[in-house]
Amino acid sequence: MIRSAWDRRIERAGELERSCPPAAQVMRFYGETARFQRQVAQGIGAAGRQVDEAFLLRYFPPLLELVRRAGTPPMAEAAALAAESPDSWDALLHSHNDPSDPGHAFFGRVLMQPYQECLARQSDIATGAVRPTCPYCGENPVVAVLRQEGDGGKRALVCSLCATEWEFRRLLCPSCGEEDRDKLPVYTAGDFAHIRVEACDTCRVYIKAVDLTINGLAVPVVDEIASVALDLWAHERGYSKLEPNLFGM
Amino acid sequence: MTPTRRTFLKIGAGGLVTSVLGFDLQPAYAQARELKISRTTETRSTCPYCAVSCGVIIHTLGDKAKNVTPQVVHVEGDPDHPINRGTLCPKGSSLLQDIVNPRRLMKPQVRRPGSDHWEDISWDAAIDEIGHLVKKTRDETFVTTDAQGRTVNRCEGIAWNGGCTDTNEFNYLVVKAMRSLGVCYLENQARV
Repeated sequence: MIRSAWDRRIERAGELERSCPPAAQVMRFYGETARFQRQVAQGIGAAGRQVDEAFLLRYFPPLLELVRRAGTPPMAEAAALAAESPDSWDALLHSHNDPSDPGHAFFGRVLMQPYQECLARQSDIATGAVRPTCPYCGENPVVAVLRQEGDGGKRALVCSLCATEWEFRRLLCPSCGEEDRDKLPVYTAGDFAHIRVEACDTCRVYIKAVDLTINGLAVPVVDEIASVALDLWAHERGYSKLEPNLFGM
Repeated sequence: MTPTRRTFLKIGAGGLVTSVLGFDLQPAYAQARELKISRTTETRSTCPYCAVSCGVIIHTLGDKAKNVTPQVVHVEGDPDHPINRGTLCPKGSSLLQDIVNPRRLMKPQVRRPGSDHWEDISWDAAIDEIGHLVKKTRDETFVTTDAQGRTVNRCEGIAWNGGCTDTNEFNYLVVKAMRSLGVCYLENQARV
């Protein structure tokens, strides 16, 4: 049986929950969320091409139930509130890219991610052009990936919404376009040998990169969430993240 | 593109650190405190070994502090380079050893005619000896005119072989010096 991208993410979340204790809580919850997202993706796949965003509304009750059961207290509270007013679900779904309200953006993102990912996979996207935003949906990248190309690591960016991967040059800031090597430090730590914090001293923005030439078993989206300690470190040094992940971190 | 500049942290009562969604970040915060972070600068460059001119990325470790000497720690093929697209030959892959190498010779050595080993020699002695031998060889082998009687003024007894890691400036001096001696068997290995 061919494993889907969701299977790999769920599996990786389980591994990181065991091997990275500081991220155990968030990995446990991510595993639950990804299992739910896999169901949504399967539902969309089974429904064929007739699916629109309104189709996603039927997944709100199980999502809210999941968050109430497994989420953190503030999230469970938000889920309980949302469960009382089904009229608000449509607005909640479309607040997925509202950075001012990460609590609500979470619900929209959980549902929109598998939906947009399914649509993106069915589309013919030109992933070769160097551009800072997703060539399919226009969202910001949440993480970068380095894949083996010859004897070097080719960089690609991964969309925060539809998980599309597109090529992006090394030594180029995806936020402001800085190319001066002295302004583009790469920070690494022994605890996360395969994760780099690729920062820009011009705009003070960073993006994490998962180096698959060092650890080919990593799943970029999941390893990015598990390495929250690096975000805390970067945050203390005055850097902001280009785009927060599913959990607003 | 407008990056998201909002904070993802909440500091609660008693200094407890949580994420905006309520995840307990205390363990991650403790981990962040213990992290040994290294700062690396990546520089695009060109492999000097041959005429293909493959692109490389040189990783230099150093936090830019004034009293720290930057140290090259890794050289990889440049995946964005149109010529090699990340690939390197075995020699290019070992480029790090051109920059950092404990076996590098730090002093001049000489192997005498008929000898089977190298011996140390001081810089002054080496320069004197080279000077004398160059003068002697040039005087003995200098050709002022060829068989047809044309003026050529060339030194046929000396040849110069350069190395591919020699710098531009060094090669410039080599050509200047060798041409002024009349040396025509001159190869400075400047390919890039």
